Amino acid sequence: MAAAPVAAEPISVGVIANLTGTDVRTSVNMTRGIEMAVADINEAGGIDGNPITLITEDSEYRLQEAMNAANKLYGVDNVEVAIMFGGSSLMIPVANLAQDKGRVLINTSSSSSKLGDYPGTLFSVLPLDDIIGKKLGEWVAERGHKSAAFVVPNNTFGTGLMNAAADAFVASGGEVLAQVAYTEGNPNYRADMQTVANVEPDAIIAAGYGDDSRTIFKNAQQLDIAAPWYGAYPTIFAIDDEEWMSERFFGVDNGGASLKSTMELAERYRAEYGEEPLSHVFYGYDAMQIVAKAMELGGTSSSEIAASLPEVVKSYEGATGKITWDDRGQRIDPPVEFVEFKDGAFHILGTGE
Amino acid sequence: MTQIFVNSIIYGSQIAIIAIGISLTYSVLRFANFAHIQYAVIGGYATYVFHTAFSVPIVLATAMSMVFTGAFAVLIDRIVFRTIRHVTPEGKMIASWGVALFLRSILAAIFGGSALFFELDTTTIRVGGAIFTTLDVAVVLVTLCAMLAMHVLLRYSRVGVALRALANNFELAEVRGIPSERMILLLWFLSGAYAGLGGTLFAIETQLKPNIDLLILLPVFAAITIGGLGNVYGAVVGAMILSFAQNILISIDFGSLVGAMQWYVPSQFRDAVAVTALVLVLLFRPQGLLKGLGGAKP
Repeated sequence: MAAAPVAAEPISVGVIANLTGTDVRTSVNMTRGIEMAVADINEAGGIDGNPITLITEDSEYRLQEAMNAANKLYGVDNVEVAIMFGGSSLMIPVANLAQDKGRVLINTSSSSSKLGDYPGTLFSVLPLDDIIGKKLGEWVAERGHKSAAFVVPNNTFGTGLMNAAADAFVASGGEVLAQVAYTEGNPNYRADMQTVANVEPDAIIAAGYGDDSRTIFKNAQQLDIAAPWYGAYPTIFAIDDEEWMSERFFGVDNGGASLKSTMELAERYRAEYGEEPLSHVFYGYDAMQIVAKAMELGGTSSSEIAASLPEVVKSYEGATGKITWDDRGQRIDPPVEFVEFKDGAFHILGTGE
Repeated sequence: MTQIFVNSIIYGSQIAIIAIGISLTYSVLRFANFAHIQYAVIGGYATYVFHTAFSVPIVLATAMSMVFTGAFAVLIDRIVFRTIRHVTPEGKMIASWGVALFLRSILAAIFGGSALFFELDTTTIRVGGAIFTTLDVAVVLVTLCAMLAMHVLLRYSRVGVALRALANNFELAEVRGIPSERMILLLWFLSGAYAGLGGTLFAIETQLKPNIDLLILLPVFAAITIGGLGNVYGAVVGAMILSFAQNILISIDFGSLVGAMQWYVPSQFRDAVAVTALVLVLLFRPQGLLKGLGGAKP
């Protein structure tokens, strides 16, 4: 690999995150993880002596704003690579744009299996829905539940995850009684939850986030639905009544929190920000670290970064453990955690890969 | 079926109480006030602030919110609508949309875009296969009481007679000595207070967001169009018809009808029912269902 030309100025890396609007906390965690990585990289001398600077744009969790942010970063600021937090419905259009412009996009949050359609452009530091969905479906069956109803948002994230989890659940001997794909942004999901109540499932398998998930739980409680909930990425759900959800809410989340490197980073995070980190901190941190290492290895242009990234992850072991990609640049053997919500916090019941 | 009935009554009540206020102002001032929906949202926020920030009991907080929202509606009339009283109804309608946008922005600036929730203790009730909560019961009872109060006011009080006179023939009522400007102020206050009540009931059942008016707007305007613009009783009937139509559509298990896995019409198609009802009424009975069927304007 040819040595990269020495940059005369700080190297800009773009960040797209929903800093206002829905699901802000997770985005802020991811952004802080990136900032912590940049601090480490610059303290160690930057990229061949040149410091990394971040240009952060707010997507407001809205497609138009995400596209505005990406257009500015790639078109005006001329960044070669951007790291993004956002749902698949935002990530996929931005990946299209990045592909058209020949730039690189690092995905730290989206999980639609369609994200694998952008090899050489989009790289994911977290696994796609088909992997988490499969583990979730299998786990629900392993825990002895014979039937399940699904409650997911009607978008690529929700339905993709539901399909993967349902296939795995049925393959493990379970029966799917109902599949509810709700429209986001409604003030009330009573009718959707009545559909679930009517079929009386052993378990409810769910995806969701933000205010919608809170309303869903509230409506379920109002309808006295007793079945336990199994969520994909449970930390992004918003819980309405912690007491009611205690020992009733389980899930499969991106793992790594029990690794030594993760625990050290978590301790730093607590010291700097005075709160418990979400796993998004670690994914943001790893995203920035592999970008920096790719720049060091191959150069700072987007084509050089894209070419170097697969090589970098082979030897990288970061905050979320060792990263293994398929030939599309999508993570395939992530650490996962099986968790239970109890007494106001998530507790790890087990880990796996 | 019991569940469909219960859901329809609850949702219909929430819509009706807001729709009444629009019909009331339309009956005298002859324009559809889009800002009315935002008054409802303001009422929800006012109740939230009184209840959570000042620990006022929810019933008293709601009453205070009604007074606040009523006074706010009067204030907006003094600032905006009185100055354009001579403008065409279409012009006033557009101005009211501008007021709504302005108020939504103010709410978003003060409270942010995230949803707020009332934390109220509720108990689940099961009757004849239907599941509902004590909160649902309270919402329906409050709505019934508010409707009854409005009926008594309009039918059996001097103020009601004056309002009905203005609605039937504004100029003649003025000639007969009815103080129209004072009555218009009262009209705005009543309309705003009912919006505040409706917004509070909607919020405690669901959530509060500055842009939640966009979700309320369509069913409320569909209800008053179905019932007949300017007809307070028509607004209630329209809200109930719409609510039943919407809830029946999304509650039928179409999957089982063809021997497949359960499949229901997704709940977002509720709006399609409202739009369809609007179009049908405007095409075949633009004056609304109650006009000529015994429905009287106030």
